[in-house]
Amino acid sequence: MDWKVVQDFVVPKCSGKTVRVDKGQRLRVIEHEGKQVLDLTFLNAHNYKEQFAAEFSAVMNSLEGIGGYYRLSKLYSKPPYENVMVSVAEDKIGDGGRGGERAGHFLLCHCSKQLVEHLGAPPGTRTCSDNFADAFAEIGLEQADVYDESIFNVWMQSWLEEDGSVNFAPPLAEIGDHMDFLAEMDVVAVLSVCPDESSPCNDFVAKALRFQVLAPA
Amino acid sequence: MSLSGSQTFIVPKCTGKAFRLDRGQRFRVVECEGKQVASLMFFNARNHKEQFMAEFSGGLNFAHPERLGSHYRVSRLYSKVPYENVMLTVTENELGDHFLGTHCTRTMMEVLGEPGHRSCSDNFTDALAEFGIELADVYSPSVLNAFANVKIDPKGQGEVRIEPPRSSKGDFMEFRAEMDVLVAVSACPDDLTAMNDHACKAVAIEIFD
Repeated sequence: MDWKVVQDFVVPKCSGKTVRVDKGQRLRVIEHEGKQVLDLTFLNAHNYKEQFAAEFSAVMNSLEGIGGYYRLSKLYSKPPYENVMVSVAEDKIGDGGRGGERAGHFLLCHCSKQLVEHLGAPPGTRTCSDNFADAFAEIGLEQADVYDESIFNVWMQSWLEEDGSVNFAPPLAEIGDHMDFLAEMDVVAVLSVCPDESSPCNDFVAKALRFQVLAPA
Repeated sequence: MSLSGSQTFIVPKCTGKAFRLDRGQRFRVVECEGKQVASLMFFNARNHKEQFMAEFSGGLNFAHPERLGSHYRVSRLYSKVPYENVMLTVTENELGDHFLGTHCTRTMMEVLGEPGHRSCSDNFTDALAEFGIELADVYSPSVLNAFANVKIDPKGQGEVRIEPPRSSKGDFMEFRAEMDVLVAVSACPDDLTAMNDHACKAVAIEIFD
């Protein structure tokens, strides 16, 4: 199938944004400068209470043999909805296109005020929570109304060891690498360009990301 | 089994129950038969929008300068953003096994080949009804699955590995409420996987002043 670009924009480093993606359209996430993580969640565009559930999707994909905590094929919404909101259409990193011991994404938490303060950052350090709060405000939602704690950390190379310790490595994705998500319903994609510079998550430098919305040509 | 709590009740197999706990009170979830997972949700009793965030609490415990715990052995249970308060503290956890992740749901039973099979979603729906909370108001299916023996593969796709619980009759996990909380417990009705060693059983709750 041929696709035409209907939206093309850059989200600056350390910021958040929402974008509407209609059923049948694709959201393309592009490494604009390289080794930058995107924290991503989705809402049903017609019922904001129907939200993407990352860890639930990780277990569902695992039971279906199509993913786990480091990669997904199907992104499910939370109970009681449990619909496939979005499916992964292209995933070079998850497919092993740049090697690595694991699929190269992360389905657990994003950075928050408490998390970075625990890690020794000064109070007021910007986190994905701030980006999400800004993004939700665009569509009239407060953070208390949304569960954004477990989201799709695109290109985040983090993992749990058997003893429960958390490890980090720089993203495998380089400039120009992309990942495509196909909307299976009308969704609002909520984007946080992760502002962390204290860990290898973004290779110690926060950068911008580019996005496209694609429609069948 | 001797139950010494000031209030004790059994959660029969394949059912759910919700109860209030005042700040400073403790409760134990007890294996009254063994090898049975108890899935636990927590709400601020005064603001039901402030809910426990399971998977994130593991990260916050690990990131804490005193390394309070991890995804596989949590000690402080935090509420979701923007609150991020300590809702409860784990005061005893000798066995140490729990899984901070999703409870079982209707669709999971379908994927496991048994459409219509009872799931924790049904138990929580029943338990929360008396407090006027619907499943649609619960932000995340991520809970504290006490006694669950589930691990995430550190490599590959990060698949989950479900093993039978290591718990025996009499094992328990104890929590202290750091705020007034509403607790919902589900005696997990999954007999399709190794989660409950392929047989659903009851669990007991003891509440201490």
